[in-house]
Amino acid sequence: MILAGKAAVVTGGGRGLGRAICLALAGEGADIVVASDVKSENQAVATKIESMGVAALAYTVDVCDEAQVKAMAEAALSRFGKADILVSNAGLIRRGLLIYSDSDEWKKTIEVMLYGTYHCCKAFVPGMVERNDGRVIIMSSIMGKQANPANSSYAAAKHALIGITRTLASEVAIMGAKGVTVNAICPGIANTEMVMGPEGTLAKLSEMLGISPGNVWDQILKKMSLQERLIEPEEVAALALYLASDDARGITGQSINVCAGSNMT
Amino acid sequence: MKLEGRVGVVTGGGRGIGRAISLAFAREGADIVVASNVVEENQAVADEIVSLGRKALPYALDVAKWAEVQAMAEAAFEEFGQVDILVSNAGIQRRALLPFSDEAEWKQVIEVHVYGAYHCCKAFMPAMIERNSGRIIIMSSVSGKMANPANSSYAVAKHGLIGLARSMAAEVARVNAKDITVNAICPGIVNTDIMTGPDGNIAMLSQLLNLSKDEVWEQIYKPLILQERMLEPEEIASMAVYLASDEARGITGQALNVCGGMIMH
Repeated sequence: MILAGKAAVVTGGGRGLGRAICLALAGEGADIVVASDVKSENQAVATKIESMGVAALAYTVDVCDEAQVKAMAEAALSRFGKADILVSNAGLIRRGLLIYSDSDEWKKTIEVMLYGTYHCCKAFVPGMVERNDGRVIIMSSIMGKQANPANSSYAAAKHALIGITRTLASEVAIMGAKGVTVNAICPGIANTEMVMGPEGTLAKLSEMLGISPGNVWDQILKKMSLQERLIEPEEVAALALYLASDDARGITGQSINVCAGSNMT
Repeated sequence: MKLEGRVGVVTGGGRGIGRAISLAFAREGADIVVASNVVEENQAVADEIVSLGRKALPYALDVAKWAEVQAMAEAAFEEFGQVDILVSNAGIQRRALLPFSDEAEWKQVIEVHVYGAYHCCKAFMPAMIERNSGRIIIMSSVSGKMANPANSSYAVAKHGLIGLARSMAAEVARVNAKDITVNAICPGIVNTDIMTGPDGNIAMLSQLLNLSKDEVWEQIYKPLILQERMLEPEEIASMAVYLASDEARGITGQALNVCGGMIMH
């Protein structure tokens, strides 16, 4: 139980990568705040965590709203006393070519991911700095390092999250809190709703290009990775677990790919 | 036990990072070929591994010699049947400003690092490809991604090793051996002989610049590192354990920094 006595906050924790991370951290003894804007999903994950023998707090929040994020921090501290690990994973995707995009939708993606992460870091990192102990794990993407046609807002947000990761990592060290690390995880194409669901990448590309989902997979998605497969959420969770551990105390400011060989930068 | 039943070959395994990796792998259930050109050091690490309850084969060789690496592979296969993990970590350092460098010494650094890795991969990869199973971990360095004044041969070798790791990762996928991963680890400043030993960097710079060892640390190395400390070899070893594990099967072609925040690319 490498995280016994630790408390973690996972945004976007109700499904996909966030859910897998909640379960992986709980599996090593951490208490978890399962946060997202879907109450039922938060509750389902919290229930599962409690059945594993650790404590969970299901929390409904819109991370775009700073006041809500502050309230979540208060609730987390009230319940668990501290937050040792922040996984800022809440995300949104709205596809379309930039020049034809809807301005509000384009900006919403940036708000959820970038401002959401900003709000969470502001709310939780001061405590970590004070205790000189903490782990911030930011969910970027390989799309934070490469082009993502018909998904510019997502690419912009994911690139920006790497900027936050690097800068915040420098800042906490400059402030003297060398026991706090800040890293980003950059998943490749993962087996989640965002990719495989009814409104997911596969479905959207099929619609946009007028080819079958099977052909989208064979001709486009499969070829993006060396291993010609989707990444499972558990693989991303395993990296999150490693970064959260004491063993990884010397890793900070990094943006690490879990991408079946899609991106080597 | 993340590496139960596996067999690892670690070159440069007799001291420093290689020794830490050999022991960490053994603690996770692997048997190890401890290989380097120093017989007593190989034996000492092998003895430590046996006292941990695993099997070890100490093997003396010069990795820059193809025939010797071939012979090591034969010995490894004879002793253990198969090799699951190759850690190509053997390395030397010969500091000099390039225009004043000794030509033979400069090239020797390249030979040990790059040809050594090349020989080991050539010797061990075919069997991995046949089984479609394996892990190759190449020890690069932050010097593989940045300048290293008065150490150009080391920088060239470490940059080259990243090219090797990326290309081999792509190659194994092309021959359909998608369950093999090839990655590089890029340590920062680590507390080993290369840094702190009698012929290490700190001693050498102390003499060259007429500074105390503390002053060399304070004025030259510490300012480069966010966390303002040297890494322990065990921190590098924990990344190696992670990459060797099944959980990291989706990580390939990467060059991962464990560097206390020295670099972020």
